[in-house]
Amino acid sequence: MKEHNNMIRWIIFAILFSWAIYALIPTYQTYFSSEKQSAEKIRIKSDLSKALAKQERGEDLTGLESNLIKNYGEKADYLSLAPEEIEKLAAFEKQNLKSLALGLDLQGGMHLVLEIDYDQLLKNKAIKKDKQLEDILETAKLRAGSDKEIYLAEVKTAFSEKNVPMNNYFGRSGESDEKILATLDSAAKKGITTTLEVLRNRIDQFGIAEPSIQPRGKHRIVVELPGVKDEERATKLVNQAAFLEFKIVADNEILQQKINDIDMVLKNQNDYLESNAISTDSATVSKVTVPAVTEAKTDTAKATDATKLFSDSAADTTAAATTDEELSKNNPFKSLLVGGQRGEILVKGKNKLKVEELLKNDNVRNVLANHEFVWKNKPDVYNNEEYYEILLVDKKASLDGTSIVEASANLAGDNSATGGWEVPFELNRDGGRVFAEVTGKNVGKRLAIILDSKLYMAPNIQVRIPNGRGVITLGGGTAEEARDMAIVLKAGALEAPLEIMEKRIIGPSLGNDSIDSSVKAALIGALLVVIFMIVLYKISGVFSVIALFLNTLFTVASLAYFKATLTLPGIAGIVLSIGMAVDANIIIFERIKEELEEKNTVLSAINAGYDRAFVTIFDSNLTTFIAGITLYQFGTGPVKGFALTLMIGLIWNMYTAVVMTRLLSDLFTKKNAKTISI
Amino acid sequence: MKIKTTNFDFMGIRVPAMILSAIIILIGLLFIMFQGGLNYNIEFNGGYLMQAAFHEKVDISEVRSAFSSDDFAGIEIQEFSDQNSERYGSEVVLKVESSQQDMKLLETKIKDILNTKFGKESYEVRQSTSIGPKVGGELKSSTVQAIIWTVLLILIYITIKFQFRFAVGAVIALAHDMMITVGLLSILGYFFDFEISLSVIAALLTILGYSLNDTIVVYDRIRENMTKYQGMEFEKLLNTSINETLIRTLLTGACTIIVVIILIIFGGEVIRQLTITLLIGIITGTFSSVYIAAPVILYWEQLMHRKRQRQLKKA
Repeated sequence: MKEHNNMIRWIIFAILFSWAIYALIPTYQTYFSSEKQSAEKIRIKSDLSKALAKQERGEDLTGLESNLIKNYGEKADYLSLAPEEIEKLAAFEKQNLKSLALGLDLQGGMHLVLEIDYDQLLKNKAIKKDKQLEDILETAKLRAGSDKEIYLAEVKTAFSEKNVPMNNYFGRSGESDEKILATLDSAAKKGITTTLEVLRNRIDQFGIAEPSIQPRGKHRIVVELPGVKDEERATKLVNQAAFLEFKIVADNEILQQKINDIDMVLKNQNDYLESNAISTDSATVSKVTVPAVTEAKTDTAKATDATKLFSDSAADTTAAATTDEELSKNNPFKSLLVGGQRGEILVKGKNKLKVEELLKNDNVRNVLANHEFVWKNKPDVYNNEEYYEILLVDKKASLDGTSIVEASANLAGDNSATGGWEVPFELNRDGGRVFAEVTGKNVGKRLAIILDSKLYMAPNIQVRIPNGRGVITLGGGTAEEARDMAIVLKAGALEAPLEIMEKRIIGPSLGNDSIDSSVKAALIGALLVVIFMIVLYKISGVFSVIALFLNTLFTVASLAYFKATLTLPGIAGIVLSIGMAVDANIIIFERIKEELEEKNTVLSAINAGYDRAFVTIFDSNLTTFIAGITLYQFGTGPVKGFALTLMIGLIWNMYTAVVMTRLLSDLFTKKNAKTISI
Repeated sequence: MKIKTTNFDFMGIRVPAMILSAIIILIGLLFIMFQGGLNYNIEFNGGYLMQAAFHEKVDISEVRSAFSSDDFAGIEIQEFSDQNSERYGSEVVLKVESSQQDMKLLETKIKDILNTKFGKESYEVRQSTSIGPKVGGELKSSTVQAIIWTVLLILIYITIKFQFRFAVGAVIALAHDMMITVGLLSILGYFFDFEISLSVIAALLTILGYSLNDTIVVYDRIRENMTKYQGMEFEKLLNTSINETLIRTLLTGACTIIVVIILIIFGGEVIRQLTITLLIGIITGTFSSVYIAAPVILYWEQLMHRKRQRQLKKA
């Protein structure tokens, strides 16, 4: 009967063992076999020929592709692929997918945890942006803390506390708070799905092998980019909003008018503050003395802002002549502006913050009304000093970038005035129609192309553009910059802005070192355990060593089979489960020794030993397993990897330590044996 | 190898053993209080860390002086070395612990300084981590949650499989292990640079599992002997059970400790905090299953006995 049972057990073992080998073959071939190198060569060849073909067709290249051409382009022998080579590569690639993946800590790369920035999302959605909105959102943000679930509810409360209907800022006028809230909520929910999609598109085009982009919870996204070298570029690619807008540039008369108006409100505000500083009376007087240029009420918060602002500017100009001081007093805004050679308006680099602060002022916002100032993306340098161009444009965008279907990076031709890189783009049919309409209506005016609130260029509209095609020139940018811009334009904008919560970068050298040292440690540890067990338990010790080996084999095979990722803490988990496996064997063997003193035959002692020990091993493994479950449930990234391998190891431990060692010992113990090597 | 079953009077020396434990816990707590709480790393507090390897030898004071401006108030710069460091001229770790600063800006500034003072090609970023304050806070709460759930589930399991008093003993033993380990880590943190990181938490939770494993093995024997030697005095029964399992306890302990020591020596700097924590925990875990988990059941038994007698008297 027992013989029969053992037969079944051996068959089960044979099945499990073949499964483990099957599951590990791809891993072996990917990391260790000699095929690895030859396959890599073929892959380079194949990628290169694809890239070259693409280049010939004039298509946009990904980073990997342009690098390939740079590195191997001239080696002609890479160009022709033999059919058997193609087959070999396909087979290798298929196996690669099935092989055990290494975590970022072992192969190097970038790990990002991003969270949707609801605060910014609402600011983007708002039709009107002012101090009051900012205050309300700030209150809600503070109250909600890290709990995104209640953020929107807090926003509603904050609005009603201030007695401001939400339709002042969101949705259509007259719309109820509830309705607006529901719209915002669905926008937020949609945010994570569209964001995931946009990120996948961008990263695919960037050309990173095996990226992982996963949502975590309702508001977060975890991005893992193995082998990324230029992390700054990668971060920007992931994090850039890429919101493209086309806005009509305001006429010169309007510009002059606005500058004068701004100066006037600022001066009045300034004068009022000065007079107010002398007068001990405060709030009641204000309404009388402040000239009614605007309807805005200057509350104390703004007043302090403004004082700070002007004391700064005063401090800055103390060294300058008195006339400058006079000028800055009468024309607080204009005095900060400089005229450029082409008639553009410039701001000195050191004054940029000051001007930005001025433009945030609510009175200034009111003066600007339907217009706004945008900043040039890069400073111009004259006489070793940085100047930023500002441009007055319509507040409302004539068209945005959502309708872009195609964008690429191009080296501008000789006939281009500026030279350097440019990004031609193409709009879809609807976008093209609007574009034609806008350009047709505004011939002779300038069209500002604005990406993420930064002005890139503002060309003159000479004729109506019917085909929905345009070009953004970068004016001296790099190829990478142009390519990245094309990628983000094509992949679409991130509707919901992302905040980086966590960023880990592991250099490839550190990953390699970690593999080396952990493999070394694991091997030395295993060797010592083998010696320990064989010295203590002789032949039985050998059985347990075989069981330990099988335990590790099965654990790693399970990881590979279920496409889990092997991380450094994961290796620690495997080592720990080996420790537990040793313990199980020690419990069994010690028990058998005890039973040998009481029982008559070796066989009955072994039987009793295994039976009794099983209860103990089961209980002890199960409690550790429980700890593993909670670790997995509540842990993040690295802890999860540790818990997973520990749990898998424990499950196999129950099999190898209890079933396998016994099968082996049965094989070598005769029915009426008088001794046992233990 | 033949090892005879021992016959030590473990329960006899339980009081001195427990006093020893109490003293170690007390010293640990004093160190924690003295340092104003536990020494969490940036994973919990938020901050920025960069490990940079210079190809040529760089004087650490040179690096420090490069970051002496007010922009970098609170920056910690330390020399770093492990078995892989010899490939480089020098390795340094730059660390800013802060929940307030703008991480992105800080990162750019640090890189700017390194690039201008030492040259972009002169160093290699081995790793860098920047953690927002929110993530750190969540980590703390999820760790507490993990520990509470683990303890709760184990209480339930042991109550079902053994008895409630066994569960109480096991949980007290666990608490003991956690307190001793955290206390010793705090002492280590005072003398060396040892911070509570994510991997230390993983190690603590592993100790929870390991120590339980040890306790369960002893408990299992106690349960078995309770039916085998009915009527035996309880203290004696505990002694017998512990002695019967002693060889196993020591051998397993020794084997695991060997593996962990190997990991400490050869496993590299990255997992060193994890492995050191494991070592401390495994030693205390082995100790506690004998001197804490078993005596608790004994005290419980004595308490119940007295209660029963009082009730008898009343009747």
